[in-house]
Amino acid sequence: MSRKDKTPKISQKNQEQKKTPTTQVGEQTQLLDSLKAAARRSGFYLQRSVQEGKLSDSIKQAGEMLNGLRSSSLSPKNYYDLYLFVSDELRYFGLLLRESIKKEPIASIIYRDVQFTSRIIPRLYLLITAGAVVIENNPKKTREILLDLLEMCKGVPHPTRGLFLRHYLSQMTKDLLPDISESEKGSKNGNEKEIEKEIEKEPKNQKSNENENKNEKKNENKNVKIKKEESKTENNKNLQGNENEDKKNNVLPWMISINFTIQNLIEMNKLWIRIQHQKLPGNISKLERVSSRIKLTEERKDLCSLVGTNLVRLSQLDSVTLEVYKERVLPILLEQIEQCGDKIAQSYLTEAIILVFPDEYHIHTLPDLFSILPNLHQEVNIKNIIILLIERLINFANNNPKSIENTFLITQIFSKGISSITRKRTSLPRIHLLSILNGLMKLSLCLHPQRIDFINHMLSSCVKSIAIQKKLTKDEINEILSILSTPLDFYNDLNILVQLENYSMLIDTLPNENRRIISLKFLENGLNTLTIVSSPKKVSKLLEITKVLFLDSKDSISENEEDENLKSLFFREQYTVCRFIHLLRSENIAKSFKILQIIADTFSSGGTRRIKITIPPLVFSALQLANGIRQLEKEKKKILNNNNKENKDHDNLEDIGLSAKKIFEFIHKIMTSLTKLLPLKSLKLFLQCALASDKCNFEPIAYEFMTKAILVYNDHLKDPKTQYQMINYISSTLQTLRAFHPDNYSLLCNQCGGYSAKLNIAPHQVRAIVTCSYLFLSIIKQPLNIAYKEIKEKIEIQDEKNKNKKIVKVEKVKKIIEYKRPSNEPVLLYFIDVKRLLGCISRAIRVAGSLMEPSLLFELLIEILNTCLYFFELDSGAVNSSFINTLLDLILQKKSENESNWKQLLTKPIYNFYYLTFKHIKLCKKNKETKRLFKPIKIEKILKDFLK
Amino acid sequence: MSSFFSSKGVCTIGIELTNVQDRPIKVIKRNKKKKNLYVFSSKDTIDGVVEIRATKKRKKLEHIGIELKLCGVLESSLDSSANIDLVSSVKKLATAGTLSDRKWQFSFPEFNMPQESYEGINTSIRYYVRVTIKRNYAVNIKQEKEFCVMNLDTKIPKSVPIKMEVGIEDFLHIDFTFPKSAYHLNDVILGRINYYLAKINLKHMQIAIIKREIFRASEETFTEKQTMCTFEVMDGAPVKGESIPVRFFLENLNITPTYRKIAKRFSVRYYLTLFLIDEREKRYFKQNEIIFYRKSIPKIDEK
Repeated sequence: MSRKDKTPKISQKNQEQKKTPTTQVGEQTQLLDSLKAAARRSGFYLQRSVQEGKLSDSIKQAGEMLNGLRSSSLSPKNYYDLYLFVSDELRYFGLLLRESIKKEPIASIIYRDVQFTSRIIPRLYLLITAGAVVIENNPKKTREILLDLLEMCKGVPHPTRGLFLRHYLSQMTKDLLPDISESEKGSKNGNEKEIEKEIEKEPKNQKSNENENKNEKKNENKNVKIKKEESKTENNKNLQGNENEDKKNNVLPWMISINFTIQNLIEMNKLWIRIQHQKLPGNISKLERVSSRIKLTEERKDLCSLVGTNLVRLSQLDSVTLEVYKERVLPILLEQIEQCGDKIAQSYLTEAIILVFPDEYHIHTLPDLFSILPNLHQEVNIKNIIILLIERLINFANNNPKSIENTFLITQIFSKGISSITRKRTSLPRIHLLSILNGLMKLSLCLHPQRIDFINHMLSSCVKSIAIQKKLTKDEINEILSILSTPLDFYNDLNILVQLENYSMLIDTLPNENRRIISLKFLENGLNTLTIVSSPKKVSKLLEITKVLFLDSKDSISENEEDENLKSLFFREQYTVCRFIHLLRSENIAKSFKILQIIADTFSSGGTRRIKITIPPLVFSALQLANGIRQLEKEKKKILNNNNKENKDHDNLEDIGLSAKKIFEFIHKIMTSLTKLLPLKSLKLFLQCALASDKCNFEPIAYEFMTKAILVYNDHLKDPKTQYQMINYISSTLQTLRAFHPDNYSLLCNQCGGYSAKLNIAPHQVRAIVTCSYLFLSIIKQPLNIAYKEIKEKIEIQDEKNKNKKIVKVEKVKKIIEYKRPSNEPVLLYFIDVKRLLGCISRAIRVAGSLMEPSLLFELLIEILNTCLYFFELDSGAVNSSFINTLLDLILQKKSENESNWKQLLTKPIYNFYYLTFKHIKLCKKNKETKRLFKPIKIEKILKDFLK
Repeated sequence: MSSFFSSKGVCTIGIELTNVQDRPIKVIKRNKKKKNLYVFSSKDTIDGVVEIRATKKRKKLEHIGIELKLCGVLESSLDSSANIDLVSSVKKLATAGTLSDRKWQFSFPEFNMPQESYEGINTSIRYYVRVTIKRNYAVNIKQEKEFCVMNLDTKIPKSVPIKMEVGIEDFLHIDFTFPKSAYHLNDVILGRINYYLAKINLKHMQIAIIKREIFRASEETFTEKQTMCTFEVMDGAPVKGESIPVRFFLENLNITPTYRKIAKRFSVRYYLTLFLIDEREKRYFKQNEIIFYRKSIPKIDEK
């Protein structure tokens, strides 16, 4: 083979170099194509020489082919393309080497011959190819060859070319690296022990089967030697050559692999970094320089996987056990990362280590990993690294529950690590710190959800980090929102969340609108999970956290908000609040009441817009509570009756001085603010309260509520239609109340009647008065025994409190009790005043008579007739048969007065109503039970009229 | 027999070396023809046979004596008059008379040939056995048989470590270390290049073996430089603190041992040269003499 060199094509090279910075994509592809074409040509000749088995020719052709890789003009990406092509072609060369090594077993010859090649790039590629073949053929040489290849590769400090060359080295040797095989594991244990003794460390066995081996050895001393020898001979088959040397250096075969890979990784990393610092030609403009730098960085990032393959390789080695990783792999890697000082490399390698090695390893090496983070380049995105690590650990913990022993320690390491990072890295952006804390929180939640104090601590860290500096950016706000949501979504239990002391502090750092978002989310979480919060303390914390929804502040939505979205948002918020307060209750009445008071206090500062919406549900909540107390009181009484007051520890209502009365007082208090704002609603609420307090038999309270309702009616209602509706409500409500002394009842009835009579529109007036008439014949629409019992009960309760009234009441009730309905069931009469009843009816007829519209008059008369029939049927004596007859006559008279246009006037529904009423009377006359009662009713005229 | 005998018109003279079946062979190329020469070393005995045949039987060939001469000659195209016999020995085969077919056996026992054969650009050292038929009235008839001399260096030349420093103030500081300065012809040059400072953007680096033939003719000294090979040892710019290995196989290289002042006129010296080439193709170099010696004689030397 000729050793004479062709002179390098300097002139051509010069041209290429000048082009480099401005090289366009087109030129690049052209260049790549031509280089590929040349390589393909040499590749063809190479294949031919290979087929002919000519070694020296092949070396020459392969060298020729590899010359393309000497190009400086290709972009890294295109270079990679060419590299792939050429390295693929090199396989043929490898084939030939394999063949010739079989024929001529002196491996060193091929290893030497390829080194005659004068160009360094082709020479080293060939050397690596040959080296791989030699190792394959004779594993004894592994160590020697690997070390030599590593050393020789130093000859290419050119960043891109060196990187690819070393990548080729790593590719070619990947299957040749000695590792622990199954058969070797036993012997490894032995050897390792020896070594570890030498370096004065206690042998630790990582795998249980190794442990077993060890025990066996202890037990069966005699067998040990034999076993050892056996394993040694096994080893010797492969590694005899280097064994002596290795033993001297304490290097085991698998250690070679690790050292080799790490060494190559370090070198590749250096080269990779150097791409960044390549000097650009001096003859280009500043602008070009900048863009070239950017391009270079981009291209460099594309090459990261070349460096990463070494890490992957390390992770694939079985010999890299946790212990080996911890003691011999990671420290070196970390040292290298720290020293290289390059931001891209530091972040890539750190992330790659996290990704490539098992999570279990990370768990045991966290402090090591964290030790370098503060020292990394200021621009390295520490956040990404930590978040990545956290995500991995969370994932691992989720997939392998219970496999992590000391969860507490892990979080502590993280926490310490992060605080040391914040101390040392002043440039760490706030948003990053927030993200890290968020991640840490997730980890803590995952590892030990019960440690709320940790979460709280992290929240406090967040608050601290925000406290110092300028306004929050949009991203930061989003991150804080995410931080706030993290425990919320995780626990899904407001009871736990309120234990986070710093939660509200963190919310307070946010602008109003965001605070509202998270507060709303908070409440919705409670609603979705139906979490009952039953402790007053927790409730007040909860309200503190979400206070933005309750408090009126300057930047909250203004009264006349134009923006429909904001408006609807406001309502959504407030309605959520309404729904939410129903979750705030306790089994314990006293606590519940305390909770209501807290809520009321909070609501009171919400401004009128909020109160309008939020007070009503609060009132209902309170009514419910009152009802609950009432039930308790009943039960208590029963027990007292049964056990003669022996059972003392049943309930402590009296001990805490709480009664339903107090609740009603409370309701009364919160209602006062509402009357002016929402007269209509408050009126209805007062009626509701009256009903509730009546059920509890609190006459004065019910009376007060009724009075309030009437007061509101009087003071605030001006619209006739509303007045009519409301007076109807009032009188209907009043009719159902049962706790009143007849005097009080009658007083209220008077008021109702009075307001009804004052209605401006006549038909309203008529109907309202008719409704009032029912007040004067009030029955308890329940089976007699129940109704009686109820009345009796009331009397008894009143007995205790007011003994004077007892006799009056009982007498009154007894007097009216024995009335009978014509139908089967007798009912209990509650109140009767025939005179006033008839007064109402007469007044109604009179007012109706004054109406000019015949059809309306007719309709009202039939309504009155129906009412009268009701009273008549009750057989109360209030309305007698002659009254009915008079009314019937009046109707007929009115009808005949308008006989001419009767058909136009009478609408179908009114006619039907009339007809059905008549039919009813007819039926009652026939009915066996009512026959007697209805006998005096004369319907012949009407019958005649119908027949006309 | 055509190779053995060569016709000189009136007669043919054949010279053959005997007892050479075990001798190594040196292949040389002269005037585009390959020629195999037997290789002898100093103190070897050179045996052979000379045979003369008259071609024109009817015509008698008178001569004044036949001589057999073994000599080693230093020849130079620069000064043809200055051919110098380094060694020579003459044997008289016949006294004056008429030429007749005849055969002689000859032997030069333990002949001293301290200088090796050498084939250079301008200068060469050749060894041969020559038969001369001397004539009074006409040109002498001559016939030669060339052979090659290679001597093993029993005494290995003194070797010193080489350390070369290349330094440009504040820009470049590199040194090259080679543990040996003396190498045998199949040796491997091992060394390291260490970088202490490299502000210049080096592109690559080569080493070269340069041969110098130095011939002193009467008053003038001629030096002929020849690059025996170049060998790229580095691609890319080195980084401070790095050290790059050099491994360079001398085998297959057409080099000879170093010769010094043969006949006080002629030397062959070798230099190890390092070229640093920067990105503007500017070259920096440093060189150091290295000494080659012969450790073995190859069976067939085709270089």
